[in-house]
Amino acid sequence: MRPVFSVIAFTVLSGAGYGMFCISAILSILNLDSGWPMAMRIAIAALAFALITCGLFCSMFHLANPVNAWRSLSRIRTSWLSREALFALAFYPLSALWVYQWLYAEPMLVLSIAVVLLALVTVYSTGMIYACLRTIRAWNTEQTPGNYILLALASGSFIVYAFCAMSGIHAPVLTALVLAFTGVAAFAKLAYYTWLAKIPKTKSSTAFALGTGEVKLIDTGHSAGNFLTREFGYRIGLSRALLLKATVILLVFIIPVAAVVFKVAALTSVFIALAMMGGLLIERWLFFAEAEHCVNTYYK
Amino acid sequence: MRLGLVIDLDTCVGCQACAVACKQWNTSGTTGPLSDLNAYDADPTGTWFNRVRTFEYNPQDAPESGGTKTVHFPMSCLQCEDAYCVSVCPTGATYKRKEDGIVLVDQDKCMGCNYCAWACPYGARELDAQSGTMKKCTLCVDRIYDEALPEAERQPACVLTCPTSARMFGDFDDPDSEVSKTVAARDGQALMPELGYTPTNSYLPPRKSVHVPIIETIDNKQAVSGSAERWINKLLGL
Repeated sequence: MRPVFSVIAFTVLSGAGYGMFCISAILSILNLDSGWPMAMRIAIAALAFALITCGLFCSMFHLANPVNAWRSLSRIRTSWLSREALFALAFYPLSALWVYQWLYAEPMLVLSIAVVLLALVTVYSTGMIYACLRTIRAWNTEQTPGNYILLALASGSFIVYAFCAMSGIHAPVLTALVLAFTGVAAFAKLAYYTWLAKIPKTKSSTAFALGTGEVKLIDTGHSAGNFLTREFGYRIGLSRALLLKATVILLVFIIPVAAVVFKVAALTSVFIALAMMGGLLIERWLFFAEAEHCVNTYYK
Repeated sequence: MRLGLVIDLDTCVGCQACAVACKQWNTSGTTGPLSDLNAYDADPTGTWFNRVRTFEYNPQDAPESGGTKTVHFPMSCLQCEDAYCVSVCPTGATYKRKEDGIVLVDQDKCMGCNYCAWACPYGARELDAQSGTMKKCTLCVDRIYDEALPEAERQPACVLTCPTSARMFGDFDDPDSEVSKTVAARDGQALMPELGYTPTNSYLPPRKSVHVPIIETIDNKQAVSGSAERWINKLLGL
């Protein structure tokens, strides 16, 4: 699959934003955020909103005819993209209410639980957009929405951790959650990469109605590229993929965990958070680049 | 009514006439012009509903199967029963008609997100670069119901133009239609049925060539002329 930067940016940025809301709401539920200064709360909320909004704005660039984008809310019964659009929009008023309560009012348990649930459901829907497609073997697994959720929680919680470090706040539970989310996310991602290496390349004997036997492409019927070859014909070399995977593991998992364990300086953790986001962009790029659409059976 | 096509892989010669006829018919009509970019330059590209690819098929069970074949493989929308492209469309631009099962794209609603193209295993849907919408084979819905055309011409453009009659059009729900009878007689196949899309279009596999046993009238090893032949061949180093 041709990696599209607009979709990569959308899933990474909005995932981090939803993760930030999730972790903040969880800590609010556990009543561990009472010592957090107002300025820091405003900054966290503003950044989380900005990440989500920026992400959704980026996703619009993926549309070839965005004037009809408003119609994407009309098929929630069957389409995960439609459901994701609905949840993303519904998240705004709910999170706005929660932020107001978080900044100015008494903690409301119901509101915090609702924010956690809606944030998780939105990220789950984003993952399901890809996972529900039977045509793309690399995506058609429950690992896809699982990894989306885990990486959103890992990135969001690390960003909030960086905020706490900058404000000089000692937050042991948050630290534990960062390590837990990042650890589980690392394990899940490695499991996914291992699984991905083992799935057979698309080669369907039923694709040609000819019976068992070898089928080889002689002529594509066109002398230059077309939509199908451009959208689905993207290939990535094995050595390049391995190098990028190593970079992802380093930037998204190893360095942030090391930063937390070795209690690096606050400003350093900000840079590490940025590097983590960069690593996630690479991870999402690989998610696209390594996925093979079954239409490639007709181009081999 | 379940309208669709039957494509005979035994008879298709890969002339691309169906691809061209489709492209020409859809210069106007319900889905509008199919764009061509850089048409006269080095790297032309364009939107086509029907593409004919050629494959070499090695059955690997010779001699019964007759050996390697060149198979020309026209592909357009298979008008699936469980068209997942319809389910995933977020705007509802794509729909499957109840009366005849044709899957269409409403050009006024499509936002060009490509999601339906990702869902289609057969590459039937393409993003038209100029309109920014997804386009696909309409089964010539603007031809088959057009009362202004003579009845014999109320068929898809690709079916009418095929010089070897490798394409058939009809109602699969009617057991007496040409398509139903041909599918039954030639064991028409669906492509990638394991994905669960239940395509309507059917592909007829090449007929198995019959292995004709040859009766040896002269046993070459025994005949005198055979041994002389072999001696000369040995002499000449053949």
